[in-house]
Amino acid sequence: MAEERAMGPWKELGEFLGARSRPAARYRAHPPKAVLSMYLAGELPARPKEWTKDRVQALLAGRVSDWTAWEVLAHLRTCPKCRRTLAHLKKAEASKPTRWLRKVLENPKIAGVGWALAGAQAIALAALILFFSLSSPPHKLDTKPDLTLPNTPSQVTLVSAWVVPEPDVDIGEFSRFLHSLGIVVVDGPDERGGYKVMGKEEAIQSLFESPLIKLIQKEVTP
Amino acid sequence: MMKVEALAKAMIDLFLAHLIVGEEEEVKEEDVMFWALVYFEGLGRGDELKRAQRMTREILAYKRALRRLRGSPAGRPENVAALIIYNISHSGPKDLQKRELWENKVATNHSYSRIRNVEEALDLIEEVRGTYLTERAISEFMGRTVNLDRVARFVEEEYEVLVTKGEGNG
Repeated sequence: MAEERAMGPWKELGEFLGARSRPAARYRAHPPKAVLSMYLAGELPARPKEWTKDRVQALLAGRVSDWTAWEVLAHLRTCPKCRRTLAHLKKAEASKPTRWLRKVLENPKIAGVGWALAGAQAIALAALILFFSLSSPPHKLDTKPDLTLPNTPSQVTLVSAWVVPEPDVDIGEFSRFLHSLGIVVVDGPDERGGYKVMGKEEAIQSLFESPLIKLIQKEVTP
Repeated sequence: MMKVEALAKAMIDLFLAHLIVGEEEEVKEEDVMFWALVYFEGLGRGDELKRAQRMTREILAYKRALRRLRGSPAGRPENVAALIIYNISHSGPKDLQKRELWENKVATNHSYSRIRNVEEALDLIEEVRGTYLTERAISEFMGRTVNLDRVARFVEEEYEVLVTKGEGNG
């Protein structure tokens, strides 16, 4: 069947990739947490100067004195236990206080500036909520505009989300893009370069389709 | 203890992952040959050296084609990645469930431009193996039409050079 052919030189590679995996044995030892942290931080050397049979034996036992990034990655691909450890480390890394917060904690004097910024954010958020509360389907020209606040809670669902722009996206462009959708930034950036944004549900939903966004985590605000 | 072929397999996947993300300088001939030999010796089915040489040549042919297309008007280097992904998808037993999942992912904006590092490329290798994707699906993933036959010809040419002149050109 034409659909099933590989193209180009792919004989050994095809057999290699198609081979049924044997049940994986377990490692007796694993890279220490410090090595995994260094791997996450990109601080390990890329590869050893030379791979030797002794090094292969050390890798198979999980006992390498000078781990390199290649070896940690190969170990991770074959060791579910270390993959879980790495996932925990990544999570712990992500929940650490931001650089700005650490600065504030170390130097309370600059906290004043921080509170002022937080106040500005709160005002912006309040203005946004007021704006969405007032926005309703377009009024007919012959009707009197209703400038009073509604007595019932607004039906507009505001949604907040954390969005991380693609690394090559210009922040100005990103900001204009959010503005064009009626979305405002209420917090950030965090350590991932992510921003907390808020806007109408459909506007936030449209971010999922955007090529400017690398990651989006939605939160629903009641 | 961990099985040697499992570890060697992970290493060879790593070479392919580096080619997928376009880091061909990371794929060194002596390393590929070393791990290919470890893999085939681990399997222990005979002809280890010949098979390791052939696999090394195959990997190096993709590396050379990638390098050849870099900055060349003949095509884009990512086309080699497209061919590798296509071939990986045509390896192993067919898995229709995986294929459906992968196609849904592509339909929801998962594209080659989002594969930025080796870890993501390794996940992609796992994801596409056995999906038997069409050329059209690969083009959709790459975000443009790729003439896979043409790229395959480039890689074949490079493979022939390696066969006639030896591996020293990797």
